[in-house]
Amino acid sequence: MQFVAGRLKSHTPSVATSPVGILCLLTATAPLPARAGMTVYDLTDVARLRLEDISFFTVLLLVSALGIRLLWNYLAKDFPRLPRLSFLKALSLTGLLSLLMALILIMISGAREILTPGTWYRQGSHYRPNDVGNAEMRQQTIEGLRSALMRYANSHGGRFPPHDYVEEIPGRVWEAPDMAGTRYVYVGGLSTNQLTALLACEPRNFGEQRFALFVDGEIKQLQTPEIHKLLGVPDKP
Amino acid sequence: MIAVVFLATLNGPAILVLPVTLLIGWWPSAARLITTLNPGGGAAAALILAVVVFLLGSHQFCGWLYSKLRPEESAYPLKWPGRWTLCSFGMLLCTLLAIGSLMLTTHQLYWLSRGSDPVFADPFRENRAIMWTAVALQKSGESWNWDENKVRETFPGTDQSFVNRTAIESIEPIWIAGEPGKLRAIVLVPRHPLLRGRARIAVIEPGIKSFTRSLSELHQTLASFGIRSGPTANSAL
Repeated sequence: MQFVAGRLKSHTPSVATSPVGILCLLTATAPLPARAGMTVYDLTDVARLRLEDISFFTVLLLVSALGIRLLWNYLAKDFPRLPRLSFLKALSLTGLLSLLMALILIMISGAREILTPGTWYRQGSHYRPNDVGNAEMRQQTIEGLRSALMRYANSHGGRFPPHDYVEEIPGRVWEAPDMAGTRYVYVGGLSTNQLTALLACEPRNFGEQRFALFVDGEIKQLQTPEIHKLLGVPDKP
Repeated sequence: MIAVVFLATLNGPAILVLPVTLLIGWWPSAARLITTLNPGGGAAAALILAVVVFLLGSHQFCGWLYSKLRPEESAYPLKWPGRWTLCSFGMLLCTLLAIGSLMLTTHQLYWLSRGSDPVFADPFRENRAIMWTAVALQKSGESWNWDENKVRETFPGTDQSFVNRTAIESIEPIWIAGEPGKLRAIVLVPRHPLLRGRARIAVIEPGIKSFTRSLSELHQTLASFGIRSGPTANSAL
């Protein structure tokens, strides 16, 4: 009994200082809620999703390298001259092949740009679809909002919705075409006779040059200071 | 080690959230992937058929090539064994998975570095901006006797300098009208919450001290004022 107790006693500090013990402790303390009043930073939703995906791909990479190692070594039984592959070597092999693939993809994207000039623009080492396409999508989305708002005004005696949670207009119509689905900045409660008033515009994360919709149905690209002026934001002293 | 544990217990989430997310984040990421996978019967059948045709075809080809290249006197088997084809296919699959993983990890890192949203955010700072605006609007409402137009006019100018934003850009107000020309309530919703799970909305009503609720309670809150926003009011919620 004493022997068992002695063993237990000798194991307890080693668990507390071992990497596994530390890991368990860190994992247990990580999700603790932030205490009120303290400045406690946490990962933003988008960053958390991206990091979780990175974690997933890393695990997949390691599992794949392990699979390659096992299969290679299984085959090596039939080929005495084939050397055994260690896990590190398998990982290095997959890394080299990935680099090769990266080179091929860069070559393909370069060739794609050469074969279809004007469709793509260079951004660092990559090519992205030309901005015109994005601007077109942005314009189309705000045009969709305009149609919905005009329909609403026509059926409500020329009054636009008081806010952007009305039942008649689906939620997706209010969302600008960014990844997070940020809602348009909407000025509720206007009527169709306030022709020059700003009705809605793209949110701030669309940059300094944003699409803005006016009550008369016109869609213009405006700079943030112009938008602020139309929204009634006072100038900073 | 002791220092790490001390820091973990002192300010756990801020310090450890990044490595812990990288360590255990693969699990929620895999769960997300599995739940979003929705393969159709046709697609699954086509995949299985393609794999079978590829395996049989490559086995036949390798068998033919092996029979031509194999020396007469050799210790190797007379026929190309099926396990060699299977092992080669397994290694090819693992290699492609590893290449894909490494490429996608690079993409995630690129998007993480180029995204407009920060990696870390302080939920208290986010919520303080809402509370600050709610208090300012409450004061404005009381001083203007909840006149809708007057209170609306004061909103864009609400000071948000401590979060370096303007109120109308970062907060979405829902003006709920009561008697003609008077406000019954105002609901403030964060326009682009970085930590959606901890984001809060503010409710301002005449004669009642403004209070906050979880963002997930937005629909119930609006419903309590007779606004049937429905589940599609914000697809991101």
